[in-house]
Amino acid sequence: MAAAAAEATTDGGGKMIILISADGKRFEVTEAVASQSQLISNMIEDDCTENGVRLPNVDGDILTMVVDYCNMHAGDAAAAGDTMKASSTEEELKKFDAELVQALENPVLFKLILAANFLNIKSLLDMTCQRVADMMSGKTPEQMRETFSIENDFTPEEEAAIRQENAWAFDD
Amino acid sequence: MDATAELDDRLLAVILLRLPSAAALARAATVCRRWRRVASSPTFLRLFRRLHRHAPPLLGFFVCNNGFAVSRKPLRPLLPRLPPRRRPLGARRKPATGSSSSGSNFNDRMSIPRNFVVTNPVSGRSVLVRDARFYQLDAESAYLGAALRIDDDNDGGAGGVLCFEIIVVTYFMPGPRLCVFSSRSGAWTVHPYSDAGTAIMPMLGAFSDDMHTNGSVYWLINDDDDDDDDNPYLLALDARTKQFSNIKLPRAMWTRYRGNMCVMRSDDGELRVVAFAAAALDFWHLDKSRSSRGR
Repeated sequence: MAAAAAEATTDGGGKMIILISADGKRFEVTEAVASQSQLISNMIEDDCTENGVRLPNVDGDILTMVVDYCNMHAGDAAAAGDTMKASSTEEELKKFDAELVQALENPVLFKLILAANFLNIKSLLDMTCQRVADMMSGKTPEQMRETFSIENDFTPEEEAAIRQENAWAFDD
Repeated sequence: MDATAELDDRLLAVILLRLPSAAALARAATVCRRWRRVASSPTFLRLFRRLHRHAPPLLGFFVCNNGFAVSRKPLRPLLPRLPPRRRPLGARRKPATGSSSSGSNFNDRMSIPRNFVVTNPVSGRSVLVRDARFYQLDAESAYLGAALRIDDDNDGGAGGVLCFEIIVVTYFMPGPRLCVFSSRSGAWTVHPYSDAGTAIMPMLGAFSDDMHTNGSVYWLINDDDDDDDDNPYLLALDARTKQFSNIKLPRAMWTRYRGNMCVMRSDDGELRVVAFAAAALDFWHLDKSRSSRGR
């Protein structure tokens, strides 16, 4: 049974796909790695990956991060039984994710969210959105505006009224 | 440039849904018009409540002082200053006209408020619940406080209208008692006395201020009547089931701290009893079967 599972993984994961970023960089990945993207998984099913997959919305540097992430996470998605290949243990994955997410700062973080959303990689989208939420929580509105370079477009009167209404939210 | 400008409203909503509390959401809704619009849509709010269902459904707890919401000191003055606790108030008692805001705590315990305003701070929608007529209560009942609870028990069908309950807690000889207003029925219900308290009403000074955490409200009852049989205990109210319970504290706590104890909520949302003796602060936490000493 174990042998059959391992064989299936080799077959499924062995085939390579070329991903092409907006700026023309090419990435060669296995189908197993690429199909963590629901978008690409659908394309594989529809057999339209022959000439490479063009991703006009994703820059090369962002796609590098996405491919790193998918390579790292291919283990748990593809073959739980393949001990040789499952070099990334759960702790290593956690550490990898934590380091990736911690390192992310504004422009890159939001580009990664857009890429994860476009490619439909749920775990990456969850993780990056959580990072933004973590950057918001515990901050005052001014601090949030500063963090994300957002302009305050309320009139002073409006802001005073909102603050009055929400006074409880500034208490903690 | 606005770092979030590239995100469409749906992605912005996905991020805001992940904020840890209603307070964090209300602050985010104050950042700019767009965030406010996304954070106040009924669909968003319904999802937010659903995702945070395991968070305490209790939104706030307040005590009134002659008609004004009082911001209570979390600790007795003899204790050093500690980080302020979270108090996500969602409801206020309607201020009575012409009354002063001073007055002793004990007198407040004897006047049960009748008018309440419940405000949804994100949408700004308010509901006035006035002239509550639940006072076939004994005239001598003490007022322990009132809680606001979001009634999320059967979500859906309400079309985004927030259902809530106001829970007024009183105490008389037989024990604690609840009067509950439901926005669904628009009526008050008076619950029977619970036998969770002591059979005799403790002295008013024996009640600590209330503390709410994990959907429950706690009072530390610390009746110093020189009767050696009485132990301090925690009176607990589960805001969802409306059941009172009684958590006994070790006798040793009373002899050691002589009443210098209070309930508070720690940063992680857990209940703590903070006690002061011999120039040191002790933190106790509840350990399923027994209380244990921390730090």
